[in-house]
Amino acid sequence: MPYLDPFSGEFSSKEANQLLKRVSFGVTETMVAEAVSLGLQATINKLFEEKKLPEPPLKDLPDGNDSGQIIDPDVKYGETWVTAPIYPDLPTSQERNRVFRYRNRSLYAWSFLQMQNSGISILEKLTLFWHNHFVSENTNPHREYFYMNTLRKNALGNFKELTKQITINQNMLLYLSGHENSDKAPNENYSRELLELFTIGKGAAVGNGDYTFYTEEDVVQIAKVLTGWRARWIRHEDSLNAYFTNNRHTKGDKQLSHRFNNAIIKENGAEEYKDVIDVIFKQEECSKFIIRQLYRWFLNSEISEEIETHIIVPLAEMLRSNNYEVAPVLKALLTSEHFFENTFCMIKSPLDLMLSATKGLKASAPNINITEEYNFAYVMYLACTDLGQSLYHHPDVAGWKAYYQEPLFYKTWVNNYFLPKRLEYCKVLVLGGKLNINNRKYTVPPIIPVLDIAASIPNALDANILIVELASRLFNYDITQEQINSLKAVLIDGLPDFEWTVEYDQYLQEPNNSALAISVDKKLRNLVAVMVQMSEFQIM
Amino acid sequence: MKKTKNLNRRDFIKLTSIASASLPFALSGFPLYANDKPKEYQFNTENDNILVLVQLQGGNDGLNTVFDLNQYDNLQSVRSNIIIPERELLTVNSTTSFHPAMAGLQNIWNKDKLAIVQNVGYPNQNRSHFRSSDIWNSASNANDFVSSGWIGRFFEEKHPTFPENYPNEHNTDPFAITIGKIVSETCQGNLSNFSMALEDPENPGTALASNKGNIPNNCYGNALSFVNDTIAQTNAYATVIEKAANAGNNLSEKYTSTNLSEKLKNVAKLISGGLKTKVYIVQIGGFDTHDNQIVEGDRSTGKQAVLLQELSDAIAAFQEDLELLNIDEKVIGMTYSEFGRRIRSNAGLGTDHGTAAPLFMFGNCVNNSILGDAPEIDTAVDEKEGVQMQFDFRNIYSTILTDWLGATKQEVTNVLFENFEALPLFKTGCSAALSVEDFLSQKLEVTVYPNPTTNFINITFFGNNENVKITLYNTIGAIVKNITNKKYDTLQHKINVDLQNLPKGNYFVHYASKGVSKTKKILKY
Repeated sequence: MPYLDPFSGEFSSKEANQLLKRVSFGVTETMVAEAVSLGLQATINKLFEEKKLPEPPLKDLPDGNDSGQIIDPDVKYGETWVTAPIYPDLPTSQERNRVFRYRNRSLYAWSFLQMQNSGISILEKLTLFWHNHFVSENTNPHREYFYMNTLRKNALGNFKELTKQITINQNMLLYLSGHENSDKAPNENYSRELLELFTIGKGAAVGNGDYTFYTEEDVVQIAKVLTGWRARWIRHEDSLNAYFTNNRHTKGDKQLSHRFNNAIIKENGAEEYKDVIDVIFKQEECSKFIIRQLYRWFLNSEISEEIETHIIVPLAEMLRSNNYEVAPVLKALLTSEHFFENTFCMIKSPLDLMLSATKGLKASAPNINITEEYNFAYVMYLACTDLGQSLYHHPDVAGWKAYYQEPLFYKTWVNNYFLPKRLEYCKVLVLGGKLNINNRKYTVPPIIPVLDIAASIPNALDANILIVELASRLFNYDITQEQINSLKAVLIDGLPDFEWTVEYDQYLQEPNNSALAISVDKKLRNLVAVMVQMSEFQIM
Repeated sequence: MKKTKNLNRRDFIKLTSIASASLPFALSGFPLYANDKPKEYQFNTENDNILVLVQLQGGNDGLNTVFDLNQYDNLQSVRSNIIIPERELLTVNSTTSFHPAMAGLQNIWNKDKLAIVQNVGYPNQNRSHFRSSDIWNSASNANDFVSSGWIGRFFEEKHPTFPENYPNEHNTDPFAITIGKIVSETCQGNLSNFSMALEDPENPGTALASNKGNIPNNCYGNALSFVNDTIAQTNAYATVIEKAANAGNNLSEKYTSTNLSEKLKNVAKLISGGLKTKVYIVQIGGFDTHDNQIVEGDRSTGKQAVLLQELSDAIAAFQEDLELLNIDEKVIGMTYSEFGRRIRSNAGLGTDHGTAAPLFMFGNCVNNSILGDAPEIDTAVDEKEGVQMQFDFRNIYSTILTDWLGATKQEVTNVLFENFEALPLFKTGCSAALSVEDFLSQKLEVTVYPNPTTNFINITFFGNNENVKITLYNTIGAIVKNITNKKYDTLQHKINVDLQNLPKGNYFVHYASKGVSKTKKILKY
């Protein structure tokens, strides 16, 4: 078992497909081909390229008072609202709420578009990881946007630095009661989650409020360290930045438990939070904790003793020696023998599923104008929400259960409520039709270009080759001959193979014959619609 | 585009009717108990009892839910900023009152159908939401990690191979249903979760069943068969649920548009439609009231008031519906939350994570009573202190499993990993209640002296030829000393306990014997 040794095998399309599925969204044949021609190392470099922040979300609804339109006093159609005042000056709260709602909607659609439009880059998968790690919720669109910006800016960067920024981020102060935390009224909400969920994790309770890696007393003391930080009122001119007020801060030194070697956090006012985070990050467990989280995010939910010893511990050591820079460690993991030897058995998250059924199938998402572009992305956002993965709205501070709840882990995405919907949504995206989301129907055109997909498969005239190649793109592992036969029966309705060859060949000869095109398109579409409903497609 | 019809082929079967695979064991109806049923249990063989679990997520503030008037002044001095004015409280009995939003539960008490169990928790309280919810759902010791749930293990006793070949001729209906999008961890078995997630009973959803390919013996095969099985069961159970939903009815006018009300309404409908599901789980979130638990100036309103109103109104409507539908004899409900909150409030008009809290059970067969003592409030209480545990929640689970769901003692011990005594939670003659003689009838006298103390304490009590367990806890609910755990004869006993090695502060002596528990606070200085 070479574990973290650099992968020495051939980086063929199979490996490229596996890698890209885990680090990006909706892998296309074009991306796979590019990765293969680049080779593993260059692909990794490309994945980790630093990127400028994307262009901000836009006002996607036309100006006006008719249905489907809205007046924003500060923003015109097609401009961004993130530079506009956070609190629009409007006479009634109803009008203001309408503006807030379209901005929320624009932000959610835009966030989906970032994933949909990203190519060979790990940035969006990592941004989503941090979004699920440092869970925070706020209904104000500006606050949501700038919080996500902080995560995106630091996604490939330094975990310790990000933790510091998040600790005094006004969204987090509001979400986990840091805003209420004062000398007179200590509030432990944030300090508890800082330890339990964000940095070091909870070990076994060994009695007397001791959770192996920290104690109840540490929760109390760290709450004191963090007193004095406040979020600003939404109508304040600097409402997006938190501030420190020394008269709410608990003065004096604070002492942590033996779990932190009785470290003393000296009185240091507005800088004290950094000191305590430095102390937490000195603990080995802190590095192991985040490595396990990343492992579950990118590889597998099961962490055996063997994995702990040979993967987690050495990576954690590497993370510490890189002062908590995450990129070098992830690169090591993603180029290791272990990564490619591992069995790929992760059940797709709703975002992975929806994007693999659209972007991964070369769907041409509507983009005639921004209204249409955002509209489609918003419907996709709603579909993912309905399937249990709502961007900006986690079930609680621990994030999505798929990444922590034993023993189900990823299987929480699939139950008798979600599964029929997952299959139905995939089917509708391929066939076109109505997506029924929360009792509202959204019409989706058949956006999967099945003829183009077939055209990209050499020798698609042979029904067997066509199906085997499609299966290798859509699924992790080969399917059986019996399954291939069943799929052929779907393609050509039980007729002999040559019927497909004849018909497809005729179409290739006369691509402008619309009757032939329609007939072939229909056959292929039915085939793909069935394949995206196969259990194999649920897994990546 | 009706090509999906092709899927009716042999290899792509849309399962719309119940699979009729044969079953290895012949049981009729819902299996009740094994052959080793002890004689003292008086179950009828067609036990069709149903349990409804209401999970209050976030940790409900019990001290602001059930009030004891004798403790009111002390409570006021430690949570002066959030306590509900005494005149606004709802009367339960001469010393006990409810939060003003709980007229619904007060009404059930007045109908003689409500049990209040005080100070329910577990030893070594864990104050993380997630870990503590796991402990309640799995019914494990605080220090053990168990990934299955207590209801799941109960079903597994009789159905160890589930989900393979389920549903079948003898088990046509889902074992448990979580109303919502995600299955409850209480129902997690070692192989599979015994509950279905159901949002809309009239439209339970069906899924395309694709043909099964190779199932390799690794995590990929495991994930594949998980998806395949979920599809098969979804389809098989969908029919029975839809049938029950269509046949079912609601008669109460008291349901409102709140989430919990809607959920319980669906439960009543399914039960009245004849669904044989044994356990339903509904959840209500938002009890993590670190701040603004109440509204300053109008304290009977605020975050917690809204939640208690939703809870209480929904349960009252549900209970009334069961009565009108004439199915109230076979249904009981139980509320639970991962922990109570601190005794002292914080200055943000809220409360932080604490320890034990009261729990409610409702239903015709529930013994209308207040079990346990009102939490004693010390005005000098430490800021970290929560309400000390008096009853282990597993005593309640144990009672429900034997007295309501018909498990044998042995099965319950398997499910809960050790033996937990039952409590007098059910009316006699109703359900399958244990005989009352089983509970200690004489007045319990436990004395602890000297108190305050410096170096040691004496604990005196009368034995009853029963096991007595005495444990010393600190103020955050952690065990600091196991004092005794053995059988004592009927004489008076005295145990001397050395406290010299313990730090100064408050401690609690917890005494438990045959369904009776007592907690005494002591001060070491």
